[in-house]
Amino acid sequence: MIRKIASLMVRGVYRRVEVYRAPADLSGDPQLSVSNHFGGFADPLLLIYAMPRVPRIIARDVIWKIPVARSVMKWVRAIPVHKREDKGPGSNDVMFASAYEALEERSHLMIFPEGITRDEPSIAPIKTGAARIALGARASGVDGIEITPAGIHYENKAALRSDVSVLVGPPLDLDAAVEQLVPAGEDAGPANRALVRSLTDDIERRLRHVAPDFSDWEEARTLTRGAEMLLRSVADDPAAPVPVAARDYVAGYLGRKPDDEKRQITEAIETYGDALSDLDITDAQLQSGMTGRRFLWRLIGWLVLSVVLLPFAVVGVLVNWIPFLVVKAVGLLRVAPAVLATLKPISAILAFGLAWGVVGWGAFRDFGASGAALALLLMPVYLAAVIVLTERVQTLWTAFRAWRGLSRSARADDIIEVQRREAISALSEAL
Amino acid sequence: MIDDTFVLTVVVSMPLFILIGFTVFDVIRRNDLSGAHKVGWLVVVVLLPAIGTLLYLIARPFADPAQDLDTDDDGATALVDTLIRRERGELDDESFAAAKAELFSRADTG
Repeated sequence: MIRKIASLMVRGVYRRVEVYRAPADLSGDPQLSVSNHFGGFADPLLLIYAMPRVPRIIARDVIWKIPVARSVMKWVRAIPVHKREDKGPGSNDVMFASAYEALEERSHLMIFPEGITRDEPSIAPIKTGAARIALGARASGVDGIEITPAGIHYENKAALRSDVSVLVGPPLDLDAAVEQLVPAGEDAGPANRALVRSLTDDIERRLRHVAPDFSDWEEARTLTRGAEMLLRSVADDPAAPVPVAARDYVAGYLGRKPDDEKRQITEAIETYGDALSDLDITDAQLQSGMTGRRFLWRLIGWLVLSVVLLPFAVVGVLVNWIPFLVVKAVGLLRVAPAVLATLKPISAILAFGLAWGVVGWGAFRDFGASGAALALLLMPVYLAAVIVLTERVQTLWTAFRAWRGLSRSARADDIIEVQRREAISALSEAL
Repeated sequence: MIDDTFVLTVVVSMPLFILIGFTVFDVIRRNDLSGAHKVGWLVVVVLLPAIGTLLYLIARPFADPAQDLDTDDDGATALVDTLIRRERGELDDESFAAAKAELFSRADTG
């Protein structure tokens, strides 16, 4: 149920959500997932959606002070952790005890080991909590613990209906790791500080491997663009949208190259990028093969779709304009992107949920249970009609620009094609 | 022209029928349900169209969103597969270079 609700929310809030999990059977083992924390509330939502088992989340105890949030946290059986900078009394003995207990029940536990939400494109040095929980549970007799790194990549975390990918790496087998790190007979519990340190380092390395971890935003942007170019050049259909999970994986792969190689990669991407911007065209447009005739077909397709969907979209606007304005207003707040990544999904879910609840209640009063069920079935349909129509306008606009760009650059086509090949071969060389 | 009947048929009945159609199709197509369960759901949906469909959509199990990036059915996923295996240490320099050459030659001719 929790997962179903999370999945509904995720599909409403984001446009494309792609999940890639390294093949591993995680169904029966006690599991501790560690994830980057770029998006506040959006992160646990996405992880519930992406992981095969609903995780019990370890979260800051201040959340339990907020009235409604407290009930939600209790319902998803989250575990409160006390942070020193939150002041007030509190030790984490209870947290560790409940975490051990959860692993003992062979549940799935989830922690954000950076300890804070960040607005940087890199992973902060992670705290030792994850390692201490895992080792402590193991010392109290839980065997077979797997530590799984998960990386969340946001296209634009402050925007609704943007793209997201979640990459889940291969799990770390704790028993095997401890055997390797600790000589027989030595203490293998959380009191062994050297062990905690080296396990934490191992977890951090694995997390950096799946999560966005670039030296700055510029590098993140450039390498993501390079990854997209590479994938498009080998794709069977270069006009198809590049899968975001694949793009983010390849960008991360490029980012893990040594600095001097990364410089060459960046240079190749930028040289080609400059040539493209001279022609006022993008790689996607260049590869789209968009001709006037194809664009015309797209346009006709859109017009047909509009005629079909228009009545529903009109109703969708009529019943949803209040929550829509509420979410827009929240978007105007001048706060950090990570805060918006918390506020926007929450306000969207509350505002739309409330509006649909009111309509459902009205339908119940006038037409009984069937009326309420009908209203709850149809409200999402109407909203989907609005979303499909408006997002198709965007795709249509992209197609139009691709067509214009391609016909404009027809003369320079050969030169830019040579430059593209050069860039791709330089990039593939550096892989 | 736009009167209540129009609103009722187009905006309410049509999408409801489409949803019911999807539900019936989905119930029949699923292979994790026994015959008796399928008949049960179909009866519920036919007897109580709105409530039954809503209940079914709520009860329907959730499809795992995870997808395979490491397959070779498309050039793009084949590249990701090659990189993943490279980082796992499954490909030595030579076979990695060969895999890359094959992928990118496809890109040149295609």
